[in-house]
Amino acid sequence: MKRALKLTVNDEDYEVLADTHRTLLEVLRDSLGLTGSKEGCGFGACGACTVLLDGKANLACLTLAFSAQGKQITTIEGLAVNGKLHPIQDAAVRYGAIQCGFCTPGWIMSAKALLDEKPKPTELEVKTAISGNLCRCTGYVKIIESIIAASEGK
Amino acid sequence: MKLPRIDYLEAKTLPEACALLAQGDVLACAGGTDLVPSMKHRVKAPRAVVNLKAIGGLDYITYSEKDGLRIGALATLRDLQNNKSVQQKYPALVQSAAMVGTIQLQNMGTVAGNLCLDTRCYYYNQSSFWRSARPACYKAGGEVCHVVKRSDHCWACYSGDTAPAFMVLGAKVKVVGSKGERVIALKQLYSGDGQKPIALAADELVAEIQVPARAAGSGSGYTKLRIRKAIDFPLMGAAVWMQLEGKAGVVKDIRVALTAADSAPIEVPGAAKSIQGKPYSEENLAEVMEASYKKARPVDCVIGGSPPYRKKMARVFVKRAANLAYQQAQAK
Amino acid sequence: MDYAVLGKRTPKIDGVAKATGSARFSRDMILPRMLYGWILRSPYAHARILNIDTSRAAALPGVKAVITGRDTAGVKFGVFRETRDQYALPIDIVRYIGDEVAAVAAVDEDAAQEALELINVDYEVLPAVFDPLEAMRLGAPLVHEGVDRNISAHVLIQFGDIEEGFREADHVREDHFETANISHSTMEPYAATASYDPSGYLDVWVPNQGPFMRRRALSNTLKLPLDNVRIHKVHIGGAFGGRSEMMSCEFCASLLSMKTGRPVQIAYTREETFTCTRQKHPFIVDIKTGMKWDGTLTARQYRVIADGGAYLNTGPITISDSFAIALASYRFAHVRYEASRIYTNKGVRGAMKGQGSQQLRFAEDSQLDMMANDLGLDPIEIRLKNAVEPNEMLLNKSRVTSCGLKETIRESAAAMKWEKPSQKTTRDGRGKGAGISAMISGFSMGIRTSSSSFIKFNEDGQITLLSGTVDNGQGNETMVAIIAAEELGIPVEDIRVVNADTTLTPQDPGSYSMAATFVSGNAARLAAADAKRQLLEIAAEKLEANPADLDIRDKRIFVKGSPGKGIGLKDVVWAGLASGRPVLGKGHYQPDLAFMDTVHGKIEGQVTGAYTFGATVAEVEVDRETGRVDVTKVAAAHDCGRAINRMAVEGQIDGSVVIGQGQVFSEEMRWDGGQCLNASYTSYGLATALETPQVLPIIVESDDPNGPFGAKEAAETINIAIVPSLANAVFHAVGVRIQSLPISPEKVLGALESCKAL
Ligand SMILES: Cc1cc2nc3c(=O)[nH]c(=O)nc-3n(C[C@H](O)[C@H](O)[C@H](O)COP(=O)(O)OP(=O)(O)OC[C@H]3O[C@@H](n4cnc5c(N)ncnc54)[C@H](O)[C@@H]3O)c2cc1C
Ligand code: FES
Ligand code: FES
Repeated sequence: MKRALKLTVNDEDYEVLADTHRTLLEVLRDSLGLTGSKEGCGFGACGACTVLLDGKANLACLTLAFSAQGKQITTIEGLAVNGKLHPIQDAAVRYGAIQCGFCTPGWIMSAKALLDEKPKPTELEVKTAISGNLCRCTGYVKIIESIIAASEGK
Repeated sequence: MKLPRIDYLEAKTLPEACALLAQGDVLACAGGTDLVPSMKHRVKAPRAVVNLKAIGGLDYITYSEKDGLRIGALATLRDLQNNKSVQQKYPALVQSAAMVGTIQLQNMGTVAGNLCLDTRCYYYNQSSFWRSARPACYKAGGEVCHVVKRSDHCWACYSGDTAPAFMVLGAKVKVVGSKGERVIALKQLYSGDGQKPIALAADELVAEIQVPARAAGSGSGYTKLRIRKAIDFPLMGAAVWMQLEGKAGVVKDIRVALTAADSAPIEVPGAAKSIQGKPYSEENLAEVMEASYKKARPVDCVIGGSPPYRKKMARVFVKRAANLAYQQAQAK
Repeated sequence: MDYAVLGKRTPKIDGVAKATGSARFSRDMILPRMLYGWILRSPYAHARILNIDTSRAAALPGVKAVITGRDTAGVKFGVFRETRDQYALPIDIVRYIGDEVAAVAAVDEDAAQEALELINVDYEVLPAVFDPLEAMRLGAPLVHEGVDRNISAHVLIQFGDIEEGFREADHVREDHFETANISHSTMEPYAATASYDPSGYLDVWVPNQGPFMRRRALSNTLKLPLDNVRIHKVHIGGAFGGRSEMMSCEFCASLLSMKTGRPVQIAYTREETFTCTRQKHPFIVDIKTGMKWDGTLTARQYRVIADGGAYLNTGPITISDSFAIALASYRFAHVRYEASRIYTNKGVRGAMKGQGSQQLRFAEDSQLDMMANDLGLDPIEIRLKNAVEPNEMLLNKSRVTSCGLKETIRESAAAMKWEKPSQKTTRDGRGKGAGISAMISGFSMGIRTSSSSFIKFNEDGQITLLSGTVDNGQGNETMVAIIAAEELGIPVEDIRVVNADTTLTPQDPGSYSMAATFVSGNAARLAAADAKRQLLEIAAEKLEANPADLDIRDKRIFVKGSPGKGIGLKDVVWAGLASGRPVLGKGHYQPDLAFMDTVHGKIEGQVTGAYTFGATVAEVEVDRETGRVDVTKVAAAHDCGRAINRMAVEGQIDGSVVIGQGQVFSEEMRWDGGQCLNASYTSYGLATALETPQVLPIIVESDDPNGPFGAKEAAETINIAIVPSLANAVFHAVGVRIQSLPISPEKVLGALESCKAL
């Protein structure tokens, strides 16, 4: 059943007609063209679909699109400002934290939620924050390094 | 994977939500982290879901010496961990919430949703295609159990992390339905039936979780066996509450509960007898560990360890949880 | 040698696109009027399709096309003629739960999925077999008619006189090992977008490890002229060998697009990606080794059984290559290798990181450690004693050129301050110990084609580099850019790489078996050298100098020895354009190799352009009460010839360590008959960030005579080495030897308890 759906994504208001059984991930990708958020499993276990809802890391694949109305949604597309990378994105590139890049948007969102709440996290806090973001390529070593570097303004 | 075509409903109050549930074929969705995967797998395909999170003011956590701890149904596992009173008085709650899945799941998942978690089994938590390759099991509406082959009922495993912690703390839950409300011991929330593990009517909801104020000299702890340090459901989880008295730290009372040990979170009965009046030590705990081992009856329905191994681990994890509980109990 | 760009820490040229979410993967190709496809799969492990009625599905509103095997040209696919045993859409028989039966295209995924339920299939269920040992028994059900005892491939390879070798030995051991059924688990689920234009051209975006191989398979099976099929460059979310072969996904998307005249996308679920693409072969290895008192190896005999699943395709490579590579680690004169790959009614097994090497090396290097222990020899010494050396000719007449094996062993041991194996106990009572393993890898590049590369200088002095090389995440695009930049004396930022597009870019072998750096890298270097020659010639006229006296650095061409006398690169390019001599470089590289016939186990001659080496020393802590193992620290030394990009090599090392760790301790696809019980990330145990140990990456540069700037390979070796070194570390920590993977807590605890019982 299609109904009007109002979402606020990256500070922009969207209104689309959507089926009531759509997940937030489907609407972001298929209706709004925000394909940066990925579906790695669709079952809450890989974190590739991580977006922020009111600043907290949530899984878009398990969120009913209609339940996200009225919340501030931030996706990977909303991080760079006027073409300038967010410090976490910048560190990710410079520290070699990206290989295939499929997991990247997801863990960057988790890292952003962490640093917004805790600007100077310990290594264990960084690992915990991204332990719901699977990566098959990097072994996480440089991901962890890059988040710590971003937190230290390096 | 796609969700089935379901309608989306919102309620502004709990009674309103109960009324929607009473219409039939409607399920409650809180964080959705258990319900949405089940619907994607088509093991649940209701006509509609009602989003409880649209109800305002239900995410409170309050503490007073008089009323103890009160947790609104929509408080998240993250809220629980971040609450100062919970941190000081109920470490087992923080420990168990922090061991649920991942940070994202803790941000989304509610305490009530965690308590009402459906039982799990690797023949059940599968896509409709996967399940179509064998006869439907009891839980999926069929007539067999693929785990305990000749069983007349479902053996799916209760795998929630916070339930045993709440249980040893003596928690009660306030249940509201379209016909009114009742307060029951947490234990009564569980039917013990793998097929329908939560003993609530279709139109009933958990409104609040109530934990008695912390007693002097008491402590609690929770820990679980898992293969990885994140994502994994417990293979065996144990919560222990104990109360010490006197200078020597003699055990006055102890309560033990297990998860991933049966189709419900289970209390180990009579745990206290063998250790009451004795100083806390691993030797004096031996019978409690043994009783826990005997009580656990895991079956082969989850990945990570065989039933005998998981059963054996009940001893180890009860000991570890008891050590945690002791730490708090003896701290000044 | 002092390099300007090479060997530094160069950020990936596609890094920003990936960090901002703008990089597009196959499923992000959302095209106008696109339809969504879904595949109907067999719920039976083995069955004959008697009839398929698609009429109700086709009539469902929104459904635009339904196809079955009858709508295809009925062509089987596979890398070798002898191994083509699979239809992209089966016609008569389905051979595993998940085998393809039909496909649907509809206006949205809901309609496509609902249509599947309306397709009526009559099956005749056939007997199935799931265990490879059972499948080999006489009278077992046959997965493919006429294939005796389900042996889909068999090789017997011998050198020397095995009996003589054992007679020479002072100590002989026979041991049994088993490895697990591993999933590649690329984070990107498999997906394809295909768009057929009525003028006859097919455009496809699909994860692949070689667009040219993929184009050939699609053109053969769809009966389209090769040139009409275009595999586009697209971002690829990991491969690890699992994306070597064509899948039903792109075939069905293409055929549905041809039927409907609209673009079609098929995105596999994670479950389909687990069970219906490719998996790693689990091996059963019986290995017998002879050794002298001093640790010198004399003879080795292997018997390998690999569970291959329902189809063959690249299967023979897995069993043959692994042995060809094994020959290049430790020296011995007598060896006998017999391997069988068995059909079973389960999902298909194919290549994964090092083919079958990892499985074989787990057995070899675990046993080597056991023998060292039997004879009281030091695990490091025994490895150094038998290690091959530079310029050594192997038993199969393949020469090892550059070789840093001994350095990798010494340096990884030194980084961990290894003295001798010792068991320690941590303060909380956990057993602690370290284990080592040394490894080689070097893959036959014989069957592959060569690589070519073009370089075009644009009017502003910047260049477009065309290369067929595909980037699965390892950084191949950046690799070719660095090589060209170094050769041309320009910064990497001035290079735009256009790659992995069958219509635009020249032929390339694909990113398998070390071919990327060694072959595509060499081609890029030669193209750059060609362009440089042209530039210098033009500049020589301007500067009135001899081209041989000129060089390029920092975008300037100057006379060697008098850097003041020079001219800007841009001006030279302009001068070329103005005088009808545009600077267009061309490079071509093909290693001079013997053909390795993996199907028949003929592995003699030079089978690879280079061998790479590596060693890892791992430290673990074992919880004696639960059997759970934590990996705390790993030193991994890799002889990659030359690091083109240090950051990328380190990234390969880190990733190899953690993938290996998951494979050793927590990963295993578990089956009940023909059904995988854990085809999901919830219960298939990929390591998380909390499992990551401290990794000490060590780069050893042996400077290969034939590699581009001396470079060889940087992905496989450590992933092979880490597996036995972790198993060895568990032994050194708590004294128990686990001979089957994964080393689960339960197995460790069981072994600890049986020690106590003794
Ligand atoms: C990958 C993954 C890993 C996980 N790991 C763990 C783990 O380690 N430990 C663990 O405990 N859980 C785990 N979970 C399960 C789940 O995330 C948590 O249990 C979570 O707390 C569930 O809460 P929720 O609010 O999301 O529940 P929902 O999905 O919203 O609801 C769960 C069930 O409870 C019912 N329900 C919800 N609220 C109420 C209410 N107020 N009254 C009555 N019924 C209600 C729903 O109808 C539904 O049947 C995991 C989930 C995933 C996807
Ligand atoms: S896609 Fe959402 S967690 Fe994997
Ligand atoms: S970079 Fe490939 S999955 Fe993380």
